[in-house]
Amino acid sequence: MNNKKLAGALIILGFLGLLDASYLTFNHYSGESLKCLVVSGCDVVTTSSYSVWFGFLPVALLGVLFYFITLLMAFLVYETGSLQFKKILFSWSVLGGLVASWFLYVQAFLIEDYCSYCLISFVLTMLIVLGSGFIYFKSNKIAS
Amino acid sequence: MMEKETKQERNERKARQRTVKKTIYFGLTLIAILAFIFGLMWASGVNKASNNTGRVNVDAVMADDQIIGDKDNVKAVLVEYSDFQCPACAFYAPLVKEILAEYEKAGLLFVYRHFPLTGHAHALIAAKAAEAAGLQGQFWPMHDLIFQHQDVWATQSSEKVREILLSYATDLGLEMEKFVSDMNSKVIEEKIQRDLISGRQSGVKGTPTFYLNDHEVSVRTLDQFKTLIEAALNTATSSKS
Repeated sequence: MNNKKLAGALIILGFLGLLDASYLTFNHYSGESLKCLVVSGCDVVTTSSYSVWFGFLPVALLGVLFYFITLLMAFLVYETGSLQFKKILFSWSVLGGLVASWFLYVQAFLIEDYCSYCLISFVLTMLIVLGSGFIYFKSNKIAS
Repeated sequence: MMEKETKQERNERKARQRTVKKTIYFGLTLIAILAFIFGLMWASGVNKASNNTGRVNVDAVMADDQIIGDKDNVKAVLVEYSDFQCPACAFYAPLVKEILAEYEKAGLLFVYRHFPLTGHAHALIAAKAAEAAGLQGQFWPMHDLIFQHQDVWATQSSEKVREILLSYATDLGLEMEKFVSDMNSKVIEEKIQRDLISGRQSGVKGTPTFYLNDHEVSVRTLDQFKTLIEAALNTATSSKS
């Protein structure tokens, strides 16, 4: 797979992530009531104290922002193929990967419950880290 | 030579400008798609809310229901199907308290019914403890203790949960022998089952589920709650006069 195709794949991944995070953000702000459902358990994770930063910034909204910027970066890599943008995209996605890992830890050890949309987001972020890393290191090798 | 360079520079500048333009268009398209999706979700949410009419006469209050309010002055009935181990129920408990503090005198009757979910291992015993305390006139204090300390007991072993519930009973000054035998009694067991069945028949699919004058309502904040209750109380007052 060449870099351009890979960047295209990253755009698709980023878009899926954007949808996922938007859904979580919508749920956070909408009037949907909180519930423990007979079938699917409780929405403990998305309503926990960890789901909001500094008391007002929902993590889901951070997710939307993360994927939005990732998408713009991936688009720039797709368009220009510039090493500079590849580097920024990779660094940015590593940052996102760290935050996503922290939230996986929070779910596993602090809340001891999972939210499926958050897990999907984690997987997408990790794939983006891998993909952008591959693009960056491959072209970095060629350049040097 | 010089001219060629500037030409190349100009081409590069133009290419850069094209990239910036394209990126901006890309970003704007994304925002438009997002706005569209949010609009769609919002619209479907609104429809859902207005279709919530669980017409099963849930507000027919039973003699042994756990209630707060004046039975002789009822303008609106709020029924909650709840589970003591459910975090969402614990979230709503203080909201309901504030609602009652404000509207109980205005004619709001609150009914608490049990809907212990099978996924919550200790929900049933907690419900039994609350009902057993109720037989000694202490249902609501027990209800409050159980919800306030949910994060303490919910993750413990069954044995430990039992111990904790007994300690709450001691704190409330209950007669312990009676409390323990009531907790294991058939009467309380059957009452909880009756609540579960009436909940299922009314269409309860999760906890908490609120019914205001027989209509399922879903709220997230205290203000939304207040608006709905005030509307219900006002219609009751205006239709009587």
